[in-house]
Amino acid sequence: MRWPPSWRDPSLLKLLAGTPINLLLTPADPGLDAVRSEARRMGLTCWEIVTAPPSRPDQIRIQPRSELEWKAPEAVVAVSECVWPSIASESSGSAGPTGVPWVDSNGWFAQLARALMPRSEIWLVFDPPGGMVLRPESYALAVADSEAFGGRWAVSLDEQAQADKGLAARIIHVVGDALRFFGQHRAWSSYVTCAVLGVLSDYAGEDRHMAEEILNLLARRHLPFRVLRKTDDKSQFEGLKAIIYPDARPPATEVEQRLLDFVRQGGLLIANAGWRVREGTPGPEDVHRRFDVFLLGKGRLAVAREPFSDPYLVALDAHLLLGRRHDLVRLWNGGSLNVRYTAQLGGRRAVVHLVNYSTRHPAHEVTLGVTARYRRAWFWELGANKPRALEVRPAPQGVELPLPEFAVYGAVELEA
Amino acid sequence: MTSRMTRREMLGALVGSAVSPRRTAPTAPVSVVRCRSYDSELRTALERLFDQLGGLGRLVKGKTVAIKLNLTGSPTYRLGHRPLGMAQWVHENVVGVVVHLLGKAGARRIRLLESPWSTAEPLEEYMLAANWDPQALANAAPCVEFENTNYLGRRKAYVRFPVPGGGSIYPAYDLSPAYQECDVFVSLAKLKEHATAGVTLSMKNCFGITPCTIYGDGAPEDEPGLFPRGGRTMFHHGHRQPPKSCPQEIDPRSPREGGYRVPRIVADLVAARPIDLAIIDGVESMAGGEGPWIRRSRPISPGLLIAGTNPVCTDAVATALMGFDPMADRGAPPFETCDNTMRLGEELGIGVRDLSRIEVRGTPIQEAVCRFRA
Repeated sequence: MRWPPSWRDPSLLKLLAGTPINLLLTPADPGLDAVRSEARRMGLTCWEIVTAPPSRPDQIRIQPRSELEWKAPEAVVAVSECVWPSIASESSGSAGPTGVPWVDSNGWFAQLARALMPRSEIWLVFDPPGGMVLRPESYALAVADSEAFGGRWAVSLDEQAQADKGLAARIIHVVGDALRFFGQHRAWSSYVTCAVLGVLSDYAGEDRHMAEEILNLLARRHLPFRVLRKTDDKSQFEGLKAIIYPDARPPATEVEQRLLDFVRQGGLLIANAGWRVREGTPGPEDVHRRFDVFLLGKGRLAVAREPFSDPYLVALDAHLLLGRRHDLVRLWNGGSLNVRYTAQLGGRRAVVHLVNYSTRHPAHEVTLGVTARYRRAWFWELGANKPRALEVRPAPQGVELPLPEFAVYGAVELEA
Repeated sequence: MTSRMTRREMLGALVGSAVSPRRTAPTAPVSVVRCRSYDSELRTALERLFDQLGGLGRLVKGKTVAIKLNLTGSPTYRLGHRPLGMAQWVHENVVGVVVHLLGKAGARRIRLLESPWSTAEPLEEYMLAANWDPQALANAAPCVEFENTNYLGRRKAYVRFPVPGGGSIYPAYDLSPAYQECDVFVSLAKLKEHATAGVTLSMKNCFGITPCTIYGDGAPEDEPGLFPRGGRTMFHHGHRQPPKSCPQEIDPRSPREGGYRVPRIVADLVAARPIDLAIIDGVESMAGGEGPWIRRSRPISPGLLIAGTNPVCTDAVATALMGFDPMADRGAPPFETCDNTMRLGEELGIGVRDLSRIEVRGTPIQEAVCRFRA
């Protein structure tokens, strides 16, 4: 937890009693010495926030997301420039027949950071927005949006809570419950993300924004992705049906050949306009207005006619080129939700994490579709001690699971 | 042959002779069959439905058949946990069996058409998003095609469909050539109410033959867009005109009210692109509106299939089966805030809505009524 710098009274530490919060991040302010001292006496760890690379083990540097170079010798990488998870305009959260609301989430970033810095724990550093009254559910959402996608939120209180100890206590209680729940299910974090679509990029320089926004918007389409690096060997492509190459410049020959091999073996490569090699037989001209499609080996190579400019369109086009028959999960009445589908490596179990970004409206009458034949399913709501058995309905493609109403987060545990 | 006129008929004739061509509108039999589920009984029920009309062969043998499906709203939006075909969409099994029977009756080519809201994605993809199996539909008969008519797609140009008599709102509509390149046009609709038009039946289904590249809110000002943007609220509110290259409104000072405009646009569309076979899926449906986005909408199980070769007659019978009076006009249920599309269709000479002039074959109306506002 990022301890509020204005809280200099060590007795306030009692607010953390009984919660899983076990580490305080404080500025290097001598005025907080008494707090740090009492915290240590209570068994809490205290780390100092610094701006330069840390010189002591009890220091941590918070790095802006846009400057992160994906080189992480540290066990913990703390990243700022994250968003407060929410529906951008709550007024549209329960809306219309067709539209889906815009969601602010750090989930895509947590997955990206975990993939590019696999040996580091990713701490997401963001503050509650000022000038508004936040419901405790918003704090539970901040925890869930981080944990469900493989990150941790460095808990932070808003100004009103800092001024109102009663409110702070209520918020810390909610946050504590959420953290405890994810702590109890830490085994799920060893599950791997299921995806048939990979995104291969440098995630750096001029290509960074496009590549990152594509991940963000694929997540909004409930289209799970695998983050790929140019240094990845072929084994990282296993199980994928398609790869997006969003970088403006073509890759090195070696990477190019690896991707073309992926195509020849039956994959689909969706490449930005700068892609060099137009190999294979031109496909039907009308397949897609924004791409030239070539049939190569057993697969397809789709090269953009114009450089990628709108990540929304790239995500949409990728979904269309890939085809929904390859969807792994589908949601109905789930416009305010993001989803992460994970499975035990070589096991029979899977977990689908569902995060609801509308804190005003519970996720209501949501149906989850999974395109695999699971036999049994259970639903865990945030904070629940035991799951509820779910009805598993056979569907043309896999199974459908009608879900109970839930507020912020739910997990569907599946067994084949 | 002599016949006695009812009081309603006499009043209708008196009024009609003064202001409308109702007397000249044709009538045609309407077939009604009970069907409680989309399971094994469906095929038998649909066969009976069409047999009661004299069979499909005489209508479709050797011909290209275009079927406008009712796939309204987003495929990710459900009424509760009910699959879309159990509420606001025509059910996929109905589509599959109808396609199969059309193929069996000798249809040369069958095209499934819809202009799904604000998207240019292939219709098969749209169906997959609802958890349908489009491959099963493609295999239901020889030569089945899918087309999203919301944009031009692989086609070269839109086709202009003038409204006979000049039209109420627009003099003509620019539509996908798919609606011209067919010998038989089928409206495969759902038995539902509609928040703006009172009922959603075979006529209202044709609202969705219009491309959003032209009639969508985000359509360009001069020419149709390449891709559809936005919904068809210009039809509802008349707040803007279609692109200049397309037919413009006849009278931009006419009421800017959905209850006035939508029924007229629907009736004009049906006059411009006549329906040869109207089929209404009322096995499972929803009451209270056309989609789950309408507050207080709820599931309902009418257990009915309805078909006819005249859409006004078919919709009139379907309206009666929903517990409403097809002769009702603005102010009376279900047309509290709109004009009656069937009346407008009748005035255009498409067909009659007076039940006393429509032959119902199969289950009589009084034995099958399912009151949508019980």
